[in-house]
Amino acid sequence: MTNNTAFPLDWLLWLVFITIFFYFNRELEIMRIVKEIESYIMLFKQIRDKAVSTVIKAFRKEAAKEGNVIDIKFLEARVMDLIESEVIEPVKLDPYGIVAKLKHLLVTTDENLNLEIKRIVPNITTAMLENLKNLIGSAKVLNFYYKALDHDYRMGKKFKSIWILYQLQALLPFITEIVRAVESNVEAVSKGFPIGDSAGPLTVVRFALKNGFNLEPKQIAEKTVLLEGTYRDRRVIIIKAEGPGGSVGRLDDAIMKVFEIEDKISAIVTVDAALKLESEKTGTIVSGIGVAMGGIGVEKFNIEKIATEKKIPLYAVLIKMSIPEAYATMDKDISEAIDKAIERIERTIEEKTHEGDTVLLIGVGNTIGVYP
Amino acid sequence: MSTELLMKIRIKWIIIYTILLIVFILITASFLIMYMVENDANYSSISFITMMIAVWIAINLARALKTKIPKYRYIEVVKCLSCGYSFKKKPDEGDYILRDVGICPQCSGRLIVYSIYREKVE
Ligand SMILES: [Zn+2]
Repeated sequence: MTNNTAFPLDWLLWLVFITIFFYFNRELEIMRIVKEIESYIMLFKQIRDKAVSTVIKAFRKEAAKEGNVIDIKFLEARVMDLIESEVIEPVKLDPYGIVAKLKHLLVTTDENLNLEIKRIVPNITTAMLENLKNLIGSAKVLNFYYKALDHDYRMGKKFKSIWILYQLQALLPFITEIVRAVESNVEAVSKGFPIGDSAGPLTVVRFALKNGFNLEPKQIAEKTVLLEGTYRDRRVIIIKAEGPGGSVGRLDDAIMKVFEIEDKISAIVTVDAALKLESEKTGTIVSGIGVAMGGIGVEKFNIEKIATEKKIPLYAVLIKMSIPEAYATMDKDISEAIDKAIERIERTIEEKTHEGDTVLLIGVGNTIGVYP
Repeated sequence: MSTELLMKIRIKWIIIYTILLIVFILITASFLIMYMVENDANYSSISFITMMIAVWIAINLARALKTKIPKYRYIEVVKCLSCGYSFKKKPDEGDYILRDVGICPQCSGRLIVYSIYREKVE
């Protein structure tokens, strides 16, 4: 060890050096976060654009089936209009009757979208119409996330607020998971195969198939069908959305209709996909009490209401999966869990009802790729 | 979809990290040689710092190489309603559960699509 002199810098210089070092460290940190958020915004934009072009492609494919060629400029403008259109929530100051208002809005939105799509492709099949609506819905979600992230980022930069940027950065993994999930939904819907959320409808259909039900569907409400059969001397009425298009049906309307014809229902069993926690295995089957149903809650409210009025016990069978799995084409684990879910339904019916009873079995979820 | 974009970004980073790694290994080596020739302690401490940087880059490179983009294969199970004969195939466009897909080769019963799912390709 030669040439080992003490530090030539004195304390003051050290202090200046450390201050500058920390300052640059902070600036570098901000730069790194900004770059990271920018790259995500770029990614989200790319995903959004891809989804929009998938919607446009689907429209053109349908038009080509009818022998029409649509002007691409016109179509792009129309599709962007549909994606940018907004549903305005009803006033919640006086919540009495809000569910009926929400239901009215949902039905109007749905019918309006039907009209808009049919204006572009008049002779579209029901299944394709539902799939197109799904695609538009997904593109809408992706558009929203892209714009919201971009907005927050611009605000953070405008006010030079590191805290807005920090918050955004902290949220990015969660937002990205949802965006990637919806993106895979676009892919899955354009293929038309069952998705994770189709587990409910698929389970009830396979239950009907296993037990030799009549698989000829009866239309019971808008986009909702009914299957009937017997299981161990119990009459089982199955309700699900009408497939194989990507529809969730109007299950509450269907149940209301069933109660008009049928007065003596001993139990309502709902089957649905449910969100799993990270530690839980995909495809785990869980029993529950209540109505297993996602969404805004309008249909759930209506079903709970009628069940409460008539004092009918509500049973649920849940198939656990993550958000990305629910949106993407059905995974092998979920597909294999269907048989277990059927066994759970059978057990529930056997244990909770008696011979001669009538059971209402509802397959909740998007029925894409599942007939009838 | 966006996996292609991620792939592109990943490849870009792998190239950058590889170049940086080579550069820092060379710098470390040259400082070590200079230390050995001139026997100056300053060279050894500089070479130690550059070596740490090289290790950090190597860790990042390993991480970039490790991230895998999942690939899926689609599988359809076709089953006979009468005898239970079944086989797996790639689903056709427009296939759905319970779709009639022909006649059973074993008992000439109805063949239907029993399930469609995706599987991760290892
Ligand atoms: Zn057969």
